[in-house]
Amino acid sequence: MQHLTDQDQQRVEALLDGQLTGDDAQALRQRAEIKPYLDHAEAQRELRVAVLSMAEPTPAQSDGFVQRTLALLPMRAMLTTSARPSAGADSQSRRATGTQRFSIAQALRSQWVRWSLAAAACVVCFVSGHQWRASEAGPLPRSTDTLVQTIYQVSLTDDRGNVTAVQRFTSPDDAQKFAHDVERWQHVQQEVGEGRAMVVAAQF
Amino acid sequence: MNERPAAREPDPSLDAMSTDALFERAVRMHSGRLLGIARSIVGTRAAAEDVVQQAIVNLFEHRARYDWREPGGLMRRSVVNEALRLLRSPRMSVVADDHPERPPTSDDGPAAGMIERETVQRVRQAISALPDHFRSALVLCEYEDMSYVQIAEVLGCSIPQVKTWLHRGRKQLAERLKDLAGPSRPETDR
Repeated sequence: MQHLTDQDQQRVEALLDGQLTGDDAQALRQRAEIKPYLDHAEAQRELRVAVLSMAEPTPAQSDGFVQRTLALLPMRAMLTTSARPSAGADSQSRRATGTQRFSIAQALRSQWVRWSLAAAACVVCFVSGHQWRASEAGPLPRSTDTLVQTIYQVSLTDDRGNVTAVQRFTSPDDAQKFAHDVERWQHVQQEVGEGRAMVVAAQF
Repeated sequence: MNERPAAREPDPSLDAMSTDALFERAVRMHSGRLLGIARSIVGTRAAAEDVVQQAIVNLFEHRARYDWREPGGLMRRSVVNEALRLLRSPRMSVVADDHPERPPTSDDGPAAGMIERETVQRVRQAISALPDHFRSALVLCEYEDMSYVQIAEVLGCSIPQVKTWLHRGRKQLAERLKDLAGPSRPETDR
């Protein structure tokens, strides 16, 4: 079997990557010495693609991830709103809000921070008061080809214990991960509220 | 395997949807694939979820800037950048993946069902051992079927650089997996 130069190898790779035009591809395929390398490279590529495809989550795992992520976005929006000047703010209020971003302790007087901390308080209840529950709802209507599904429900409560939001999951793992995500967010809020951290950029 | 979103004209009915509704649709439609890309680059399922979640949160923050009717490219770019950012950051420790690959299914194509578990493991390890940019380029090229131009755009490099990364990455893989190649393995001038 003949040696292939680096250049020829790259041309074969470009062919398999769909980067060669019709005539170039045709000319390359007609070279007899290329054939064994081409077949080998193609088989290796198929193997890699098959292995990479296995890294994809199952539809159920993907759905759980989507649920958790979408549930986080409203909190993210709240954090962003509290950390940024409004779009219509004039330069003076922008400067004021900028000061608040860099000095949370001073900013405790302002309404938007109180609002933000109230939201954090609901999470405190949620975490330390154990007012979230992974409860089994009643069985769903059974269809002919599906099993009865257990729903795990996480309730978020405000500082008075009123349920403000409910997020449902199909697995306890997803429910716990969601709880973990909320706990992380709540921890950040606590740190900010107690003056141990400052919001200089909204990263969640 | 999740369905790869096909390139097509934007659906006119999407024009009536709000940005938030389009954003949610995009997250639902692309998350599976994005998790696959992220995991192929960062290695573990947990890290991949962090990467995709952070990318989605970042995009959500700036959602008004983008057209969400065809968001695949934007989301892939964001996820790859976030994955590379994670890989660049100092690592506290190496954590083993506690969620091994799912077993191959019929959706993965006929070849997948015939691959032995050990082979899968070895190929995955060999891919993981590639330098980050080689691995990212390979994933985008072979798994995402992206052109060199698109890969260069996502990775922020030139097209010749993409070709070089791909070629070197494949050479390294061939070297690491040479005993998997079988009797018909061709000779090459390394």
